[in-house]
Amino acid sequence: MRNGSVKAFALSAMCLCLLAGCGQEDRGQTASIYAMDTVMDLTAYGEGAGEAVDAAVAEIDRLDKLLSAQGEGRDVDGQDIRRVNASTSATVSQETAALLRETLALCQETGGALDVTIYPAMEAWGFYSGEYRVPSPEELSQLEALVNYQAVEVADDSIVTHGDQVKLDLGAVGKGYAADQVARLWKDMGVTSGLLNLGGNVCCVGPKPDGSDWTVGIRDPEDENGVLCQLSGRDMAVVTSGAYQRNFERDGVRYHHILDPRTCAPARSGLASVTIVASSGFLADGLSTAVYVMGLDSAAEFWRQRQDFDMILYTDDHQLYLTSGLAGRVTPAEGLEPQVLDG
Amino acid sequence: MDRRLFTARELLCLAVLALVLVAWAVWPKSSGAAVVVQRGGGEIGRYPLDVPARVEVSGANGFSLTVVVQDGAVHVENSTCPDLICQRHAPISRSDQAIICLPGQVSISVEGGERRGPDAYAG
Repeated sequence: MRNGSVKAFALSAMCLCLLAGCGQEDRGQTASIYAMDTVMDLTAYGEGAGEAVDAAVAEIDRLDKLLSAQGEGRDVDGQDIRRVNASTSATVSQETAALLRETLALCQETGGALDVTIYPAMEAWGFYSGEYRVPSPEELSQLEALVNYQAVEVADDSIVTHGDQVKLDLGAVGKGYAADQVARLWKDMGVTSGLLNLGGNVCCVGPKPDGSDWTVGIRDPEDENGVLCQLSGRDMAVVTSGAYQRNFERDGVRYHHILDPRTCAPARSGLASVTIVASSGFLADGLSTAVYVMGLDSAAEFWRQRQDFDMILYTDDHQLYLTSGLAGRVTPAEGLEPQVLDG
Repeated sequence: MDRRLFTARELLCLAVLALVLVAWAVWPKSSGAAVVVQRGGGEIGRYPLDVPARVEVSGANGFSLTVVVQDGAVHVENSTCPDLICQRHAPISRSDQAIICLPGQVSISVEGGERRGPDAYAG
């Protein structure tokens, strides 16, 4: 090849390399799994991302077994909540005992709007089996007597339930707790950037790989392809509860899965969607359910007393509210004017 | 001695290459996007988004879904699941959208498509 041709070839190759390079970005390592009764996407970026994702999958699998109230077969080895639900007392791992202790405290702090003993009511409505039904008023009043978190005691590593029909369901906090555990694991492994989406239960680990904030869209309960608003931030858990997530229709009435522990029936609080933003996934998860049950006024009062989280509320009559800690971080959808709740 | 960096022939060669690159950049391409169907977290099917298709998907717990790809989007035409949330879901065509059937443990997403939404969706 003549010198000139070499020059031309070299220049062309450089152009191609530059063009190819322009399209490169760190797409991260991703796993999509089915666990805790939902679809989960786990993405880690940077060096060691592959190992981090594998470790996260293993950790979620472990927690799914440990904390699930559902399961098949008689083998309940490593399944603490199933073991507790099979009798009135059981020895459990220190981890389960600590988590349940923390969850019971949250049940108390929310005045019972969150109740870890909701299992019999969820079962009666068919939300576990998918064989949906509407319990009679008599059945609901019987269920009310069974749903009472105060009937559960945790002493060291043993859990006692008072009454053989009192059963636990950690579904309202399990995914949030799992997100916290994975985020901690990733930080220990040196992952500085990652995104967990555990069935719409989002946890942003660090900033994005380019150093900017993550953006999280809050789903519009009336348009599955639309959002109410976008929220930006890092190192945060964002959990949304809404009636649209799991529901069924009977005789023209739609019944959803967020049950009010006081009535054991689907909560009708005037809220269509509740999003909690907090540094703890556990707190965000548990409070999203509790705040949904509380309704706007009680939720606003509850937030003013605590202020260790932020929230975005969307009412049945299409009003958007957000707490002052989120001001400047939320971009509402066109046509929505959020009202800011002050402390 | 001729001290020009490129001869006329070399310049012609470069011009042709530049033209090819520009054409490659602006030429309308097939989207390359694929519909990915997963059951229980494992991939069970992958179909081009720009090729019409009708696929019967066997979900968990005995539920089945009819997934239809048409007009560059995918939707669930029919499902035997009890809540029918997947069937009511509007068609999706972007990589930041997904249709999920929880009773059947099936998720339908688009890979390699346009992405213009946020990094994740809560809810």
